[in-house]
Amino acid sequence: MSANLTARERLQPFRPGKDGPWNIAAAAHLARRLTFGAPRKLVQKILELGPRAAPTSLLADRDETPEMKAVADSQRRIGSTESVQTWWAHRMLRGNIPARDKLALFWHDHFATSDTKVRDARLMMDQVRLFLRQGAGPFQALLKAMAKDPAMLIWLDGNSNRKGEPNENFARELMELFSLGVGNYTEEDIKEAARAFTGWHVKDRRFWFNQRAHDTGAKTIFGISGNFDGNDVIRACLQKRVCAEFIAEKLFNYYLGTPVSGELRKALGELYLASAHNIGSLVEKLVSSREFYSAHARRSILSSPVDFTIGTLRTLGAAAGAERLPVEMSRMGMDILRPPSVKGWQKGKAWLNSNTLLSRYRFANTLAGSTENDPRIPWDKLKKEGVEGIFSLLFPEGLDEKIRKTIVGETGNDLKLMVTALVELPEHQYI
Amino acid sequence: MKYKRRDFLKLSGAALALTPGALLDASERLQGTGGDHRLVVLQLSGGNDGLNTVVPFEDDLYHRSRPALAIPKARALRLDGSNEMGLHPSMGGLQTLFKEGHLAVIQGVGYPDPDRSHFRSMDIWHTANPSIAARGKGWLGKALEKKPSTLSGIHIGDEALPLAFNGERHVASIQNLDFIELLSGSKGVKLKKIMRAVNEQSRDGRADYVRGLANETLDSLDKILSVSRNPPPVEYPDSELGRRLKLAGQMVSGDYPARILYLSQGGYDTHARQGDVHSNLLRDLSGALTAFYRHVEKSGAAERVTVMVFSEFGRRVKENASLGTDHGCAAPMFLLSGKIKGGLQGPNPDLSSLDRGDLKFNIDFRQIYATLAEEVLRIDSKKLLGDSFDKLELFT
Repeated sequence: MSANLTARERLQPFRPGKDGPWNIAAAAHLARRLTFGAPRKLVQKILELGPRAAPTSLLADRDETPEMKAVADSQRRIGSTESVQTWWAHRMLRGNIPARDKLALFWHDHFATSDTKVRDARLMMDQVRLFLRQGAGPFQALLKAMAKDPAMLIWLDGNSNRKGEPNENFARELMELFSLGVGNYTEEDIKEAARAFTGWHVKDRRFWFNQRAHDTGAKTIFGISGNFDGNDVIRACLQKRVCAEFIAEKLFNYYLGTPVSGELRKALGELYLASAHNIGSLVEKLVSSREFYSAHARRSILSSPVDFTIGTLRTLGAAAGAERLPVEMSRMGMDILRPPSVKGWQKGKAWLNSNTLLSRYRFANTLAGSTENDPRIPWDKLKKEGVEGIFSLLFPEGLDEKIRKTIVGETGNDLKLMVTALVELPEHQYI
Repeated sequence: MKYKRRDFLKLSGAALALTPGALLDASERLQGTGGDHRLVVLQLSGGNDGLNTVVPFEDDLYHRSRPALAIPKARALRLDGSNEMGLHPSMGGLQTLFKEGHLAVIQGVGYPDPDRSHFRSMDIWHTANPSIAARGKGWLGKALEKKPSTLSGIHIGDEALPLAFNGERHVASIQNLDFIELLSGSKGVKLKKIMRAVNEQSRDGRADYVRGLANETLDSLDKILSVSRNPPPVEYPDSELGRRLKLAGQMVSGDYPARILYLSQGGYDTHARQGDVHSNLLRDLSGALTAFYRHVEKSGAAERVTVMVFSEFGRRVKENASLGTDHGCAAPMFLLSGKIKGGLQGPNPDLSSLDRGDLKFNIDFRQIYATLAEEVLRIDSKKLLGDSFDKLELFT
């Protein structure tokens, strides 16, 4: 692709043939970014649908499969953090809308609610379900729902936000982390916004509008005065142009991961507005853009522990083993449902240090150790793929010939050892 | 104010500043011929209550500010040469090391315009830069960049790599020895060989970051495996800190190549009911540090290592209503070495002159960094810290 495209042109739809080939490597790239890993069947399906239709199809809502429903019910009944983590890991591994789970994971990091404070795993599960249901819809509806989400209300001290003694926690994060970013509001805006959310409480594990604690007085937010309530504040935030750029850039980083210039940020804001504040259609545009399929976007994101574990398992056709995943991911630095701070996880290079890298090696080792009693990896099926098949499964874009020769030479006929080595490869740590 | 004249002398800038010649001498003495003096940094996370660690037991203001939490005069462990300051009663080990002259207690350490947020203050200590808004490079990460051929670092712990090590160089982070088994069986050895081989065959550079980290990690593991085979001649406390310091002791004794070792002990954010909690933390700290010192002493390495103990801030002078203490400012630091100039340094805390309820600092922590940089790491401290700081007389 020509290097001197404008930012707007880079965000225009990718045209197969003209902008680059539409092949297995491109389809696998979309699979890794929009879902987890690149299982052969999914890649084939994407290849047939084409770059325009595939994202729409993958993001479309579907009814939960009976298997997923059963897992959800039983894990909810247990109701511990671990059981809800397992439920989600199971969904990501075996569910029928992995693209929705991937987007829900984005929102989980964005809103960064932690069960260490909420201490009610069922409410955490409800929040994840909210992300699954509404994560691809209008951003305004999602924000409004989050402002009343019981886990969020506990997380950011909703009940101590009362008329006369406002607690600014939610109002601050709404502007700083959820919609606008630092520097796009004043301390006064936060104080006034907090008053608008007074009385938005949680009672009996549900949202409860506590009339007596609500401040009905006039507030001034972003220079406009009125008798605002919480929904008015959310609307006011969303009307700011900077919100479009803030959200679009964050999604761009999640799905594309290439550097963002000022010009590109502006173009991203336009793309968000052209999607009418609808997150799903924005994501579809992002992952069908020329930028998405450009050479420098391929394998440019250091995989998160979820991408690494679930992606690897799905690519290798794993049928089971979700129970151990939360602990394994936690060792790699991502304890889902327990993000480390209100800012979510530190991403990119921060995912890897010696400990977390060795945890990835340990995970790779356990794959080879899977047996008939622990049928995580279908080795019989993989044997039929053969050496060539496995290489193309994990590296459809190809792998350096010297590296390939070294691995084949050193592992000989030991297929399990070969897969372990491939999963440990530096190249495999990127999606 | 009631501190000794001796303390006064140490505080005055003229007495603190050393001439370049004297510095060189100190550094030469410290390094011996090998130039291999180790720095062990031990971080107490959460804000250690300095006043109940190094206790001004004669000070009425101290007892009045802390009716429930003050350490009674009779229980404070006397520090040789001082009639006013003592250690927390659970720090018997460090009291002995103090008496033997291996422990320096630097009092009133802090920095201008103190920040009372854990994160901000910790970042300031890690970057040695109170003015930055964003997270930049760490002071130790920068040190590693300046001396790539002679300095390397290691982090022992399961936390994220400390910001202090942030920089261009890779630093291995080792949680415990479980991983070593993973890579030491026949299959592990084979995988290690493959990884080393493929890591040398660099490709387009995209995965270079992981390649570098993997190499650093595999190198470290091999060497750790070898030093960890030597059981220490002393017993360490059966605690997380004990295990971490034990590995550090094995590394220092076994000439593991890292020159900078970083460890931490958490739990110091004692807002409520701090009595027993704090006492247990300090017992663990004192026990583990003492075991470490005896370990390196027995292996003849005590004069080739300096341990620096710090926390992001001290705590409020007045206790709060929950039998705890809130975030404060200046606090003491410990330095432990066979080469240290033992004793108390800096004036005793002045509880009659507080800044918003907190102790004022007398010694900027960057003075200690500067001294350690010059004498232990042999780096120009001005280049490292971006400014000149008066060095302290820390070593004999």
